[in-house]
Amino acid sequence: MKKALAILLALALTLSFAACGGPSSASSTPAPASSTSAAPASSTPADEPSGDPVALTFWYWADNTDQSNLIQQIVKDFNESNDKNITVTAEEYPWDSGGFTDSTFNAIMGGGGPDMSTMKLQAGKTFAANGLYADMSSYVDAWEDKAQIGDNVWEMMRNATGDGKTSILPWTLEALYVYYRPSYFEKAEVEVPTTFEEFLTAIEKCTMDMDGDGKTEYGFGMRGAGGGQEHLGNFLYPYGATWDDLTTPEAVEAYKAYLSIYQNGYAPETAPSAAFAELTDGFKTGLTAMIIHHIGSYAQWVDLFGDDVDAFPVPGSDKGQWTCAGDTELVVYEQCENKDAAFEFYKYMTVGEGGTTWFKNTGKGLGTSNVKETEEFKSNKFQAVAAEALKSAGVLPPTDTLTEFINNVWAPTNQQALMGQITPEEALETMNKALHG
Amino acid sequence: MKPMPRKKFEIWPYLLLAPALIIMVGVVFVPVVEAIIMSFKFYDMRYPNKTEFLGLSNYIEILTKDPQFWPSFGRTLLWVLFGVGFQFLFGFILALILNREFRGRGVVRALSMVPWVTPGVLIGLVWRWLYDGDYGVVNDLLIRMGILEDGIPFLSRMETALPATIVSVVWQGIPFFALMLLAALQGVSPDMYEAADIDGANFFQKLFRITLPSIKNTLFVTLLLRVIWVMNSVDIIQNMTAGGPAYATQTLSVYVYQKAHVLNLGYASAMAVLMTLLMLMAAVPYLRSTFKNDQ
Repeated sequence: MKKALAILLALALTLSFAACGGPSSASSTPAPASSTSAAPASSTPADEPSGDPVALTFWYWADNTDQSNLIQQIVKDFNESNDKNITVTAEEYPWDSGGFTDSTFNAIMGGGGPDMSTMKLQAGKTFAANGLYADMSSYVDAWEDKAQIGDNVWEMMRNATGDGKTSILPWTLEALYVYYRPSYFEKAEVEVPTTFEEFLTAIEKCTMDMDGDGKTEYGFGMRGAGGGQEHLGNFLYPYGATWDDLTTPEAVEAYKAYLSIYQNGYAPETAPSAAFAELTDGFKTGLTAMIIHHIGSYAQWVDLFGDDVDAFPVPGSDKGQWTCAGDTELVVYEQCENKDAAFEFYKYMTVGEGGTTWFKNTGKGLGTSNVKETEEFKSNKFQAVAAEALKSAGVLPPTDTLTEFINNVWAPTNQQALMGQITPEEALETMNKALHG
Repeated sequence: MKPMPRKKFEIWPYLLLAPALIIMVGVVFVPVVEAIIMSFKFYDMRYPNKTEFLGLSNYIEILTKDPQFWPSFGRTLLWVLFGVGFQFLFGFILALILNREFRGRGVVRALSMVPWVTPGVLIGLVWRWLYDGDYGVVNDLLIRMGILEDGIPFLSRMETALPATIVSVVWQGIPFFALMLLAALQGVSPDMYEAADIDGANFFQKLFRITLPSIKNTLFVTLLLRVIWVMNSVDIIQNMTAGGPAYATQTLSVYVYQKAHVLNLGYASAMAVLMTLLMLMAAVPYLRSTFKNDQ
């Protein structure tokens, strides 16, 4: 009996692990929200809201507690100020390295979930392929402020779903650019790069002992692990390569240039395992002269370095220029019963007071007129660089396997290439297969 | 001979057991059965319309085509062998120390439990920064002691990443072993040690002739539990290295997690079932031999 019990115990414990990924895992996702809607569904955007009470549930993630409070405050202000009797209930769930999108997906597939949520473009296809997003094309086309947001941005939204519909509504686009330390540039006697070649030279020259402690500071903070795939694009396009095919000779040449930064010792030895935290800490402590990041971090650099921090767009060449746009968008789900109300909320979050408050506190937005008119925009030198970078910004191709490429393939493959375990050609072949199938 | 009175059927025991049984069936056995069924299907939530029965295809692909499965299995063996082995060794030493009378023993006992009550996610994050090649405390101490000249990026190098994560899981598991073995040690009669002392037995004779045989069953069950838990552990590795660099710390459980995380649930379930079977291949003979003498 003892033996049987012991075996049973072992079986149950081990198999319970196997069950973790099962469909029942939906039950371990955030509790489905009660997305009630008191108003009847409206089929056309031209319909006037009835004035009956409307309740919407909005799921979001926040990058930190300040943003968490900010979103709650913006939603509260919307609830108090809108004249259409709309009440939005904002519920926060952690981003959890993309776990947010999985949880939301599982919740909606399981019959729960919100009316609206924040979203990343990279998840566009999965949601769209399952018919979870509402098609907001007619609302957008009829919107008088549509032109405030660039055509390339709307195009980006449509491409992300792959079905030609405007289902993802732009909210925050943060184009990546280079932060650098002017004092390091001065010591290394380099000018702000305007070409990609100059950029590589600056990385090399800034690898030196900057503070006289006998230790080398590095020219470039390389993000070899999670999130680093976004930086690869900065290298591809100046060599004439694109994301569409990573096996071309141009892509190989670009990737070799990328790898050589680490292999020549111009990036910290920790680069292969560096993700966001290691990247920013390297810059924070003065270990690196340059990092690629977006507008979201400018405030902490200014707090730390005062005038000794500046920025420039990642340069291109005559063959091309590209930078990745980190994004947080808004989506309305098909299950939302009052899409008029949801679009009202979206407008408030972009060109309305919500969008202004969001920009003033985070520096993030879409460069709409309400944002450009603020003193915060006019007096911030980093906003001009971000706006310039946005002109060449894009996102990784939203293929069916993009999430797998980002989560499971990029880091280990890139690490193998950085350490010389596989050739650049082999690494790119693997990445291309993971990205395009 | 007077016939035995027929025992009256009692409903109450069944009613009292029912809630626990229903919960067990609902949260353990149903998902387990679902996972097994799913492992025979193409079940990727990114393509819900393509779900179909595949038979053994997932298993065949994993065992014959997946370039990461067997290397991950090999790393899992190292992870479990060294992880649990050192936990046991240091846990047993700690239990022997805590079993002795000394001043402040209660405080030491309480403090020694800290790693065990710390969530695995936090352990992963803390050790990740302790090991950091540029600002880590471990490197700082080694440099100050003159052992190193420059910091080692422990989690960025192939040869040091897995040993570094093993140290973390050893640190986490020592208190559990210490706690379980201490409880068992306190059940060993002092009379046996007194008798051994009278016979002139030394420390090792007492250890191998009295202590270990007396706590054998607790030892085996504790070892088995830790083998299962450590093998299934994802939190520490995922937070320290996410399986990197270049797969150097990717164990089977981390691999399963990563596959499931991108919603490829059929494939991930098949790997989890295989992992369970591989574990049972070791666990069942182990249990049979362990409890053979008890029957």
